Amino acid sequence: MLRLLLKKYITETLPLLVACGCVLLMFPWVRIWTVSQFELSGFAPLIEQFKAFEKFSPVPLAQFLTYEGIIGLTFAEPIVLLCVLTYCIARGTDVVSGELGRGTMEMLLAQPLHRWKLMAIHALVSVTGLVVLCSAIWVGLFAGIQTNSTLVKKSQAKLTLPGFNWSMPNPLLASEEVVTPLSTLVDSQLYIPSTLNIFALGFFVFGLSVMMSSWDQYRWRTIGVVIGVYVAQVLLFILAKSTPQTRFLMPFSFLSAYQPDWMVQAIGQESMPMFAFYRFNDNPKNWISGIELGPMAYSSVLLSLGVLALSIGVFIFCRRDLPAPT
Amino acid sequence: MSDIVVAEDLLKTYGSFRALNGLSLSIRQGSVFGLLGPNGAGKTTLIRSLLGFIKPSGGRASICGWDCMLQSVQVRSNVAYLPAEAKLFGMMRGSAVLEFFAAINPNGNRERALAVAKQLDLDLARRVAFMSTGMRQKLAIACVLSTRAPLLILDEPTANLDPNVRMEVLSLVRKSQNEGATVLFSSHVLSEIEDVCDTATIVLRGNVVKTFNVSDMRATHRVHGTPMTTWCDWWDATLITDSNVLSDISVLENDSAKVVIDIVGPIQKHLEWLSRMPVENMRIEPVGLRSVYESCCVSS
Repeated sequence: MLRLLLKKYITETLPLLVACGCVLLMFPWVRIWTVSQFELSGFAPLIEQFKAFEKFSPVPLAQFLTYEGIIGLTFAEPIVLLCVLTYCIARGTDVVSGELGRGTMEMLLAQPLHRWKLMAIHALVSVTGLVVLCSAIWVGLFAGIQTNSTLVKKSQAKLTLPGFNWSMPNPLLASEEVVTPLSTLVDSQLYIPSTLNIFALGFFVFGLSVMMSSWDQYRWRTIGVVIGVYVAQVLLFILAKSTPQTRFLMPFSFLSAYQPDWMVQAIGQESMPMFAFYRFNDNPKNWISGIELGPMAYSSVLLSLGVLALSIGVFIFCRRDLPAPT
Repeated sequence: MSDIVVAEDLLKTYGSFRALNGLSLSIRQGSVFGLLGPNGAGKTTLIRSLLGFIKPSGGRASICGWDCMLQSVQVRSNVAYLPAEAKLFGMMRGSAVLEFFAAINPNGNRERALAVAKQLDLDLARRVAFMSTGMRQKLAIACVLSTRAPLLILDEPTANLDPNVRMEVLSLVRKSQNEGATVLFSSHVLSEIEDVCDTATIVLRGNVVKTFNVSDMRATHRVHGTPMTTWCDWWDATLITDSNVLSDISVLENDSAKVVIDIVGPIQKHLEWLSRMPVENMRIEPVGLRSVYESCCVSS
């Protein structure tokens, strides 16, 4: 019975999974190739123009002048978020309201099957698909870093004056640009916590979609509600970042736990351990005085919220009356 | 034979509306039980309560001894259910749907399902999404009637089917009964209930208003007539002298304009008595399900 349901859900998931997977595999590679075509220091004046908007960025804008930082921005790209969120909302909303809307729940639940098992198998398939999608992002990044090179200005040779322990650039030699593999400039392992973070975001949105689906009868309405919640959270997040007075709103938006750019900066520049939940430091921006949350703490918050939403969804579905098909 | 389905005082309310209003019934094992009633009477609500799809506001029900609310999975292990206008997985081909339901149901069997599909002349190579409504209904019937579940619940099984396929479905229902299954047959088509059911019940406003044996109903005749002037004297005399006749009859109408009498049992026994009856324009007809149904609806 379980094997049949697994097969059914895999068959239903596969087209969307393959489509999103291909995009998420190709996009990071193409993006890295594009980035590798430029010498990033040339963007410094441009970045300077956006200094006023730095407060909306999770990291200092100077971070985007490094290859680490600019590659880390992949996780904030709309196309990446769109694919992950589309997959999670599509699969999450389908489990109850989708089957009810199509009228197939009636025949399915006429079989000797616990309702929670139905949801558990669906969640297993969908979350495995999400793991595949997030892995595709990292594999795309890894492939991009390993296969692309960029031109890096080599510092001028130095001239050491005989008799003095003193050196100066040799004015007779022009500085040269050297083709440098990106793999020597960027460590792809740096993006593992960010990949986990986008997985956690997807998992939470999936849980939210399942929860909304579990009490609804119409999938279109479930999708509308979930997108509405997401948009409201985005607006709340922007509002929280806008002024110091509204900063207290930050914990009320789940997007404040989605910090892939910050993770890249903290691990790459500030020696934050990759899988740390917290570390002690006196940064005034800390939520808790003296304790700075680590990458795993942010992902754990999203994963916990996702588990909570899924549990509520199962609870509602196991207790509700099933409406007759329309 | 014991009762396979027992419902006691089932109540289901939606706000102030009572979809089931203290409904009680029992279904004998091995019988074909007809469920009749107008739209909104509570037939489907009753079926969905038995399957655990909805939780009744009061009362209790059991199938094969399992509580329908608390042991819903065990209940569904003993039931094959065909919903009204069954919807199947659009992406699957007919053969895949048959395999899916034959494998997922412990009483299912793929070979039997294929045989039923063949009997119903079904194209199994086509995807469900590209099937007509009638073909989908036939596919769902093949999924359900191929199981060896002790109880088959069929909610309007012949809707959307052509007359030939209807006859096939009714013969499959009889075949299932002969193989030991009990069938709960809900339909609006009175002739089907009359053809296939042993017992039938009429549900109105969430309650059972009449349960009757269909074969007894078939043996009942209704006499209509216009009374002559001597009718009252004759009738009074009959009440005194023909008490053996009166045990088989029930008077539905008796006034100066019209007399309507139901006679239960072989009509031959009463022909002599009927010939003496002082009425004009006498008409004798078998009591069909339509008459019973209409009289229930009118009296309610």
